[in-house]
Amino acid sequence: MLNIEIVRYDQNYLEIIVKGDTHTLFAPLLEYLLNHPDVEVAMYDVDHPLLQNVKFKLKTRTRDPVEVLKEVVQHILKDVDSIREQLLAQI
Amino acid sequence: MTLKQEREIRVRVLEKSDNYLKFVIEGVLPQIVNALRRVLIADVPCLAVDEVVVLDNTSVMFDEVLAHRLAMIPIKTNLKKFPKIEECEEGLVDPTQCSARLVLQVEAREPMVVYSRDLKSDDPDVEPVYPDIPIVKLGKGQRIVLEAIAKLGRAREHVKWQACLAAYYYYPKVEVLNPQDRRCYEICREICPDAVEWRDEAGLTITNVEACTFNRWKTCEQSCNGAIRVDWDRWKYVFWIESFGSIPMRDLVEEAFRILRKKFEDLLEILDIEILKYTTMRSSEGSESSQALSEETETEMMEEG
Repeated sequence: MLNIEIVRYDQNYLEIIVKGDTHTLFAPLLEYLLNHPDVEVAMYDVDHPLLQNVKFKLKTRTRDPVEVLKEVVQHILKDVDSIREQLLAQI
Repeated sequence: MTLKQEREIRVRVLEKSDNYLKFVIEGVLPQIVNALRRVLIADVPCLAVDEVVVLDNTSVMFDEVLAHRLAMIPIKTNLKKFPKIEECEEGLVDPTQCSARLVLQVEAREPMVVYSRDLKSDDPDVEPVYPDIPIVKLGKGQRIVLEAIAKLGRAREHVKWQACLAAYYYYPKVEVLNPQDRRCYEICREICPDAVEWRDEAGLTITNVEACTFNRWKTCEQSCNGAIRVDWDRWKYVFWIESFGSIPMRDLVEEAFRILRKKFEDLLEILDIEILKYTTMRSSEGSESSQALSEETETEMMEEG
């Protein structure tokens, strides 16, 4: 189960601390975010392999960071579904 | 929304059997491919013995060693018959629904070996994948009576719950620069037997680039002194999955994608709740401070008045 703590959230900036998942979730998320035209900075950092607190920061140029995040997640899900469907059709 | 870099996604299966699947995945960033690998090896649940009630054990093996050996035995898991792993973990269902009971009861009339097939279960769907895994040797007259509870779990917690191996490598892009190099062919034929051929006129010819892994092609390149060049593409991978047999390949892949999807959906769902909490907290703080400020000015005004 994911646990999210919001450190700061305003017009163009979101900073959260997440417990419960690390690179599986954030590595794709970050790559897609950095590929988004409205994202200025995005980063995540896992503090310690045993504690696994993930600090995630996102700075956008003009839009609401949560909105951008949602858009990016939808894009990831679309890609994941595309792989899934193609793969399952062949096995 | 369009991303700065985007390609068409293509998946093509190269090899499939009950326990093995190999496919080419193209047009996806490596982070997604890696996330899939991580989910497959650490998050897909399966059954493994987690609790053992030893009623009698007169064998030479200690109870805890015996329990450990039992845990290592892959057990057939029909995921459709069990609740979802997150429901089990969050206690949303009765814990007995997430487990299965096996019994081991043997007494040696003569020296014998106890095998995984001797583990009997109430449910015909739940049984060891391989019947001939040795568990312990018994001498004449020795006895084992125990009850083993197999639970649904994830490899994140313990490897006994690992359902498969999964890995990926670059799709090799091989280019022959000097096809007349006979020595190079001899070497490559040894490293990649089914991938190269010597043809009368053409010389060194690549017949099937997929018959060899990226690393083997690289070895071939480095032993050839520039006769062939091996390159890669950041967007194209060969991915393979090898199941331990506990979950059928199709169920395994379906479950992996379900879990991967859910990770992202959960992130948004929980973030929404937290954002709402955060903004209401901020606005109430804001109104409190403005209220305090107006009270202050009121007192000031009264004092002045």
